[in-house]
Amino acid sequence: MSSGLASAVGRDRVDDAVWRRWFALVWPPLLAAVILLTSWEFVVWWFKLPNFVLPGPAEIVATATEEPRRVLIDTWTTVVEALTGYVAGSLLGLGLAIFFVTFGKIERLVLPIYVTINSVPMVAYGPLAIILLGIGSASKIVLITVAVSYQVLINALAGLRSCDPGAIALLRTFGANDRTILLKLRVPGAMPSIMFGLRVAVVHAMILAVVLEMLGARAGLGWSVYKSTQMMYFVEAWVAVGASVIVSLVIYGIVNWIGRKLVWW
Amino acid sequence: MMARIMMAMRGLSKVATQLIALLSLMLVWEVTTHLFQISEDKLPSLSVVLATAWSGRVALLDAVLTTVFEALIGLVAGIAFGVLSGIAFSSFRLLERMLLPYFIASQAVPIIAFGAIIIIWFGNGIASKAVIAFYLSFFPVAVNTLGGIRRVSQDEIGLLRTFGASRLTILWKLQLPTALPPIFTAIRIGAGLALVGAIVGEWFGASRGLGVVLLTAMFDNQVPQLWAAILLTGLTGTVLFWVVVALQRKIAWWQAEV
Amino acid sequence: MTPKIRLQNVSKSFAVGPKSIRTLEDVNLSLKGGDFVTLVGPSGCGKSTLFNILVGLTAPDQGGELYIDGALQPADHLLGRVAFMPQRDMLMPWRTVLDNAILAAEIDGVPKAEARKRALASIDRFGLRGFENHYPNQLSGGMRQRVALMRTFMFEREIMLLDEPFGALDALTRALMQRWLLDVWEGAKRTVLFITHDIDEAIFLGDRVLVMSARPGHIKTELQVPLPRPRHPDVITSPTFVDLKRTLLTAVEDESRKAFAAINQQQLGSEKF
Repeated sequence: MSSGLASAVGRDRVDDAVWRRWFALVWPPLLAAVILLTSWEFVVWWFKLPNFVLPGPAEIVATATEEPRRVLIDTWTTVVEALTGYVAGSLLGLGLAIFFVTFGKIERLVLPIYVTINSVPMVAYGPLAIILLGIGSASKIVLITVAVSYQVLINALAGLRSCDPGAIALLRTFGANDRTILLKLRVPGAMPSIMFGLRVAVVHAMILAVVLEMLGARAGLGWSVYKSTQMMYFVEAWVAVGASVIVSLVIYGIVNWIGRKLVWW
Repeated sequence: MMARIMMAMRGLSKVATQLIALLSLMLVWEVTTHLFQISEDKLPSLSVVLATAWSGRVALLDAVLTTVFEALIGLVAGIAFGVLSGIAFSSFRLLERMLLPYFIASQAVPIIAFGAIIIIWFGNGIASKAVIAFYLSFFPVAVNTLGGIRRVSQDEIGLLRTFGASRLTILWKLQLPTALPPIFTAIRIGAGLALVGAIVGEWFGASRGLGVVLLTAMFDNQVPQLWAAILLTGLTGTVLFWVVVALQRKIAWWQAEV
Repeated sequence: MTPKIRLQNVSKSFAVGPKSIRTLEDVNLSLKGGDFVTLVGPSGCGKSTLFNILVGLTAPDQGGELYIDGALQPADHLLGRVAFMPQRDMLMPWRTVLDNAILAAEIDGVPKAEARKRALASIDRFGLRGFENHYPNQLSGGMRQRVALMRTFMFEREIMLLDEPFGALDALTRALMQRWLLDVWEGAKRTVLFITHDIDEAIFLGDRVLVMSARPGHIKTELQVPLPRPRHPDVITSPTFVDLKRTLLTAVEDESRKAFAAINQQQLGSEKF
């Protein structure tokens, strides 16, 4: 997309235009959020809904502030599981992608096996991981690592492979060797795909962490939801749900922001 | 010898390589479990797993069909809603700017966390699982419908208007067909997600289905049964995927699958 | 005087399925240092293959020889000897104009800071002042070509190959770019081989014009262009120019017709599958 406009306009007017554009993007969803929250509260009040069907946002916030420490511990546990698996998986996926592109023969042997393993939805491995690795964070982190690495690997491979052969030929005429071509052409060219994979994977990581905790855990948001529901503390369950929503959005926002810094074209 | 095998492999199609990988994986599994005497409650041999699966085949088939049914209902609803939303967003900019961020946010939210609440609202039966499957599958479809419709250039629309086409005609004859390939890509993704949604939904409360089989096997520490369920889940997911691909080849054949 | 670059008996065949297609047949050409030679030919005559050989991306068939400064060059030693500008600019969207311009030099081993300094020194020459930190997707087609040309010039080699660099530009921009290119070349005096479809462009730019035959390609005609340098824009309507053009048109038209018929045949043949 062209932003040639910016260079033609004076400094003050540029800032003003940028601010106005930002505002135009933000007010509709913000308005929708306000409408959503107020109508939610209203519906609960009007229909006198019992809190095991649907508590109002106000009550949820109140319950959260009653026992903040537990909510924070749970949030921290889940976030650590998700992010550890995410970082490990991303590094693994990227490493494998570069490895495969450099050594095509190994890819032909190993990739199909990896694809087969991942053709089973990661959640289905959950029970097995619990049996083998226990209900601690390890079982979650291992599965998240595998799932994330697969997502990142596939996208990175696609990006690295989609390189224009004409561009590769041109760089060869400059005397570039394979390594130079990889570093200066393939990898930057693959960044958009890689970022796409990273963005999708971070969402998966959070979801997987929460889901796997529901199978069995010692702490965490998913486990909290499950436990609270079992014990009929429904509002607590909503608190955990709310916390996971907020955390997911924040993490996604961060990854997105990093993405825009890394891929500016 | 190795080099010759690799040379031969180079000529084979992608599907064949995948099958060979699958078969060799199965072979390695069977051999290593026997060779290293791995205990049955960690990694049973493939033959034991298959035998377990075969002996419980009736129940397992029932489980597969239940879960697939739940997933499909949710998926079909998700496709319908996704396509309609996509069309609505493409026609009304304000609607898009108000609601699309929520669509996006809805996916960053682990619906799974809502699972317990969904069960409370929709009961223990098929409906709750279908709802989760729906929630997970509508978004990719909506996004790809919107993206696909937007791919049509103003020039193409202009041309049809010189033929006297109405807005609806343009939507039906130009925009939707253009959007079909990306919609199918989204359906492929959505199918996988719907299956996951159905399985996880069953974990919250259900009496039948693959999720139930997985969960029961976990609690009973029945590892061969667990592996059988895992394999079946993988198989189900793969079959669903190829069914969608086959449909795409029939309906939106003019663009190669991405 | 030893020619700067000389091709002798260069042929090239490609295997396409069961058949073998002879793209180049016995190409002989020779360029003196400081020459600006243009090459015209119909589509599919093997121009690109010829360039790929000159640049070192492909090797000629057995018997073909390439000499640079009188020394025979083994085929695999050619990569990196010649500055090449392909038809598409292939600018990297993630690099600024300046960084794109220094790409070849950077790969060649010139330290980035040094290369950037050199690039900034000639930024005016290439008409890109003020755009150093812009990105390719913010530039017009003509400007992108100038960046690509700058990249080619900054790759300090005595021989330059330009493959239809102005093909994608509209006629007006193209005319401006041609004049500007000659201007830049006069300052640098490299040996240039320039491929084009456009006969006017071929005569306007070159000291000599080579006409390539239809496939299998070889140099069919060679025409001296005795027009004085620097070339003035209205030389295009001078009698000498028109004469040259007439000769070239006949030569090229013949080959174009042959190529056209060959392409049609090929198309029908492949459809039989």
